[in-house]
Amino acid sequence: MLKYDVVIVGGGGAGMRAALEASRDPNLKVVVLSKTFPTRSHTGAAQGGINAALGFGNSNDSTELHFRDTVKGSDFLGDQDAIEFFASNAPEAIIELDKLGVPFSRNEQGRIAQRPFGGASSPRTCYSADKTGHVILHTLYEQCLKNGVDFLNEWFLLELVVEDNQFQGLIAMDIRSGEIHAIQAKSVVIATGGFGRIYWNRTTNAFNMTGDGTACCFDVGIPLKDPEFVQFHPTGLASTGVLMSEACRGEGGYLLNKDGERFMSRYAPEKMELGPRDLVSRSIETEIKEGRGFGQGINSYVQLDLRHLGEKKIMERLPQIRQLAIEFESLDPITDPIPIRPSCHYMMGGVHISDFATCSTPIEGIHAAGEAACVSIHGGNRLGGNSLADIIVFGKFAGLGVREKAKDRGFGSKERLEKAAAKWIDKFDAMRNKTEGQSVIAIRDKMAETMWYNLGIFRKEDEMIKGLEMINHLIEQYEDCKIGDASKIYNTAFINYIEIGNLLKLAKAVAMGAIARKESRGSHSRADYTQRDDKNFLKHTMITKQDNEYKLDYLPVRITKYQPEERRY
Amino acid sequence: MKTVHVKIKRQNSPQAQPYWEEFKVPYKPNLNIISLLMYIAKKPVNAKGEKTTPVVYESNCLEEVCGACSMVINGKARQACTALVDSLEQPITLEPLDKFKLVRDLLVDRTALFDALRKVKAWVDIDGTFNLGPGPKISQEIQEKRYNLSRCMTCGVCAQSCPNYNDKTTFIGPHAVGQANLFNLHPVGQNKKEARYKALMDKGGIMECGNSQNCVRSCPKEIPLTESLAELKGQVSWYSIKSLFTK
Repeated sequence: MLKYDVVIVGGGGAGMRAALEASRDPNLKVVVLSKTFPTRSHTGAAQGGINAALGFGNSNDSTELHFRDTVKGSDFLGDQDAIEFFASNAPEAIIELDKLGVPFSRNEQGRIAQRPFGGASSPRTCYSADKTGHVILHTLYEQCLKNGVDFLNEWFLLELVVEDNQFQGLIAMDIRSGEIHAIQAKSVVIATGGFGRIYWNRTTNAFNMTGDGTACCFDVGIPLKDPEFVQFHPTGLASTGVLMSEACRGEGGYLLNKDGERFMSRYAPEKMELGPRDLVSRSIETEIKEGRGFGQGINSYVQLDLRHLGEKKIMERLPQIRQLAIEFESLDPITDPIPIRPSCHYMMGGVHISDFATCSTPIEGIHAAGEAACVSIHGGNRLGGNSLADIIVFGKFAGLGVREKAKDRGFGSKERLEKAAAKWIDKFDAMRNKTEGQSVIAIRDKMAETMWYNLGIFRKEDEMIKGLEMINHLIEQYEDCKIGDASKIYNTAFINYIEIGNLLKLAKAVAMGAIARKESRGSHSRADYTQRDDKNFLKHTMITKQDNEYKLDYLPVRITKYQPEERRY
Repeated sequence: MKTVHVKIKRQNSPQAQPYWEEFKVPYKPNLNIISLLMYIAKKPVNAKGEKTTPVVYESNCLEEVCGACSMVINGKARQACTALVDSLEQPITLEPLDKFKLVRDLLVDRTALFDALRKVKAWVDIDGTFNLGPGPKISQEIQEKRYNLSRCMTCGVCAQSCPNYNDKTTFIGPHAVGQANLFNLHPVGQNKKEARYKALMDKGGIMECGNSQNCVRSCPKEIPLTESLAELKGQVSWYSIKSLFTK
């Protein structure tokens, strides 16, 4: 049986940052298990930047202001002790990356350049043109190579094995060979990213963002916190959903309706295009709803206009954006405005973290970080540039946490793990041989359509209840699926099948949380309850799953310094 | 109904025989190769109307930044996500990269690309447990040069196009030379410069480059790979002469 002191599931920024930290103890055997090759992870798609109050952009900036902006951005649902910890640790985390060789763009003095981003009171976002995530991801991977971290690439997490609230190990498939393995481990970090694919093609997320680790944590009884908070990024390309980074607005891009009007003046007269994402997304959808968008129905859009920035600035600061617009929309932002529409972008909710300094969960030995986790620092709405900062800061502390935990704990029960692996081997065999049943892809498409129309940007009780009924129905249908591929080697159809199962569970939790939250806060916007209701809902949603029972509960928000006030931009 | 005609080279396992399978996919504007493959996964029926298995391929970000979906499309190695059907001649042929070990259908094992990064020590050799201060000052010119090199997504297209990257040589590949340069240009990374020169002087190093310039022409990110190759060839020669005299 494979045996590691520390297993990190997920080879993106959070996972590799955790691995790097854990591997600093040469006595620990550390492995990263990832379903895609680590450098192909979705962190690489993060374009715009990473926030830290370094004060190079404006010497008056401070971690205190970063703390305050993040609390306000979260619509007061973020836990303030965790946010303060996050903002204070961000500068060191960035300097560390700089020293590790991340080619951050520089200002004229040779210091790291910082640009303005939505919801930030100071230019605080560090960047590497518009490839910030990509360069961080590659640098971390190379550092892991240097530190001799083991990699199980193209391995897929099937189950976390827990007994008496204690982590024992995990079950995973080597996708290339189709072999299913039990892995004994003392501690684990779940860093498998978000689950934006519940909206399937109405998302800026990569194909692999199916919340596998989050679903496995949910299956062993760890609460899913605040799942109803889904961030819709205002500027996805209208036809494909491909992301046009927030840097477009940060660098001064305009949003125009069909009358050529900068309509943000109606919704955020001061911040204009630099309002936070939830507000800008809703403003765009309102313009479309009220007939001031271009096109019709599902194909409606507004325009992102960069032309006034000029060729030089576009080529220097936004080269990737220009290339994407040319490749996917056949137009050049230097001469044409870009058609855009909001797309699902980020999950504020995730695996409940009970101690932010170690990123631990209620189950001894299981830790989580990054988009998979909910610390919570983003609360009801995440600010641009805070997700890369999240994975770097909390990836590091999860790595520290798991490293210490591995020293205190022994290896888990071999027997229990063998039993769990045998169950999966049987399941894989059965699915390969099953020739009749429901199509996994049809269920996936129906789920996505339901989530987009019934649990999208604007939400209403009756529509959401219908949505939940449909998801329940799809969960039943899923029990009788076929995958249509009998191969043992690289059976992507089987992997997709497990991924869709994971998404369905998470989609159900999103619907439950959204129906119960009778208020509008951050990204959760209800047509029937348009105001924030601090009296009843200044609290985290906690959904737990026991077998097939889903239960909803709440947890108080930790407020240390900033009392809730109206969020105005 | 207007359809798109696709021919895919398939192989069930590394040991199996390859074969071609044809598909007719309903046409839509703005289709790319990934959307064709996704349609086939949804309706796995070939052009003869026979049921088949979904095609196995690798793809992730859909915005040409992750490097996963490299394949040979109409004879040219490139990323499938940015290969738009409207700009391709039909029948469209899809083949796996053949410079790497085949796993299944269009999916290959590109571990060798990453082993090459290990050889040239493509990292900064510090462990982070020190007082950090404000970080190194770096000029905008150097940063821009490094940024250009850092866009490499280890997709393997340069290696696939390089005539000297094959079973008979041990050439580490053009991408690895670019990455060696990336770290030689970093204020702390340059401390390992000589170790990188040594790796590049070794068997499979920079002297295996035959200067065909295919890499720079095929790179989807237009990384100036030949510039790095030329710079490092110069630096490595100088270093080897110098080390003769200092022995």
